[in-house]
Amino acid sequence: MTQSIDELSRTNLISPEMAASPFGFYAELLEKSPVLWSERHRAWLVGRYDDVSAAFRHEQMGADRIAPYLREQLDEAGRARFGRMFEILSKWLVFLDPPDHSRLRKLVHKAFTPRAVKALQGRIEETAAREAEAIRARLEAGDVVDLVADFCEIIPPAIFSEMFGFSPEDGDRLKTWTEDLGMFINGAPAEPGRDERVQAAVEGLEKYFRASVEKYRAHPVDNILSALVQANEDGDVLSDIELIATCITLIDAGYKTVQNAMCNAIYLLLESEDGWERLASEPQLMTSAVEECLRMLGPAKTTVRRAKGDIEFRGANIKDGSRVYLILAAANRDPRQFERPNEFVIDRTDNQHLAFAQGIHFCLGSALARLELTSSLAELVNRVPRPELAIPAEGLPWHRVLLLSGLQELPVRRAGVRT
Amino acid sequence: MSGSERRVVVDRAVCVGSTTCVNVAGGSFEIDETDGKARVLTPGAATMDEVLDAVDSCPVAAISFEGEDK
Ligand code: HEM
Ligand code: SF4
Repeated sequence: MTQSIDELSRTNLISPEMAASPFGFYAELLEKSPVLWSERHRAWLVGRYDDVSAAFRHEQMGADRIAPYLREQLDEAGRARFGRMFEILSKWLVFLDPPDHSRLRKLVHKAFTPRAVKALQGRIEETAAREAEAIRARLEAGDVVDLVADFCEIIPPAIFSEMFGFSPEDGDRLKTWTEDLGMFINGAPAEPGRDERVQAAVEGLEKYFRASVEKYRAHPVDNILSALVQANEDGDVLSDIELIATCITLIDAGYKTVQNAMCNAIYLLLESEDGWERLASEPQLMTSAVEECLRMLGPAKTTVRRAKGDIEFRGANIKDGSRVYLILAAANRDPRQFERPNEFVIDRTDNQHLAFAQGIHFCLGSALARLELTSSLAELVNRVPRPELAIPAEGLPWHRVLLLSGLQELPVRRAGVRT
Repeated sequence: MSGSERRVVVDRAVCVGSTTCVNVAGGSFEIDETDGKARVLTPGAATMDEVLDAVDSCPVAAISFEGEDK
């Protein structure tokens, strides 16, 4: 397929075809017009590795895309309904520019230490081992198992309950609220009832975390939320709204991402010739395999910036206030950076992919994400003989959102047995 | 770095400019404005504990002591 610049500019990035496989489009984009104005999305598209990397370090590529939205896109009624949500969103690390960003990130970092992350390993392994055993038994009995619902969706909430000290029932409520909030943030097509659900989710989350903050302020314990409440930098502490916003952002940033990264990785292993078996027999490959999965199908497909002032960027004149889409998924397959970019190379070395971004917004949870992925996948491949897809790969349901890449379902069955 | 013979180094090919090291041990690291990557300050003002925290906290393990394996 070959398209004119005009066609590329009018491409809908959240059509079902693009959700299933955007890589043909990305390849053409990188080749024909590395920085392209998208008429369809009213935003600049940036996809080459070097350009995305430079944009992450560009001071005028602002992260604040919330306040402008509030100002420009919402009417009076919308502002009344979503005002509180925007107030909370405006305290999210990922939407802040320096110096506010630097101050907040420093404080959050005090609670989110490597030691705190390492302490979660036992819980991850235990949860993954239990779920993997259940899956093995069901596959042996001839069942079709959905690895999204029965594996990938289970591990991140279990870890959050440990980090924040909430019960499994709380976990279910938080999960629903986070999913509803995600509909707004991740650029899904608008559905009827969306606004009401988003509003209810924000209210629920705020109330829940306010109560948690008060509890840990009175009685500190050994978990990450309690550490956030205690975090102090030369007398500077997180305000209540910053604490609540940070809890919500950690859940939003760390739940669906890991879930999607995991199902994408499993999908890549199932599609590879012998990846599953090799990981079971050569555990030392796990680290490079996870990095390669993040490169090939990272869950964060695109992230957004907003020009602060007019920018002359790689030949494009980006006007003040314009939105810029940094397409990580395109950069991660840029042939200028990666040899054999479309091949899954399980032991790839020198893999400086951009799945976790770069620069000051580099993923705060990358160590936790890597730990969850390597530990969970190890339990899975060690306990479950490689299954096969229960439906043709072309029929797999990919999420139709602008920013994330992942599967709604990944049904598998015991290999070699037709039912 | 105060009170130590060991020299700390940043592998600039690996650094992603997360600024974590500057946050935990600002006395001994800074961000190079030209490429957004970290640079070691010598002599640095951070304590040994802070530098060790930076080594541990770097999300891509780019900081190490010279002559030691990461
Ligand atoms: C495989 C899983 C994950 C991927 C691929 C991922 C990817 C990313 C990316 C690309 C960004 C930068 C966004 C931007 O610059 O616009 C980011 C930021 C962030 N991530 Fe992750 N993430 C993952 C898991 C997690 C987890 C588990 C947590 C925490 C529990 C987390 C917390 C954060 C936070 C707080 C930020 C904002 C940092 C800042 O702006 O300073 N992420 N992540
Ligand atoms: S913590 Fe590591 S990646 Fe981040 S700036 Fe320092 S050396 Fe670079």
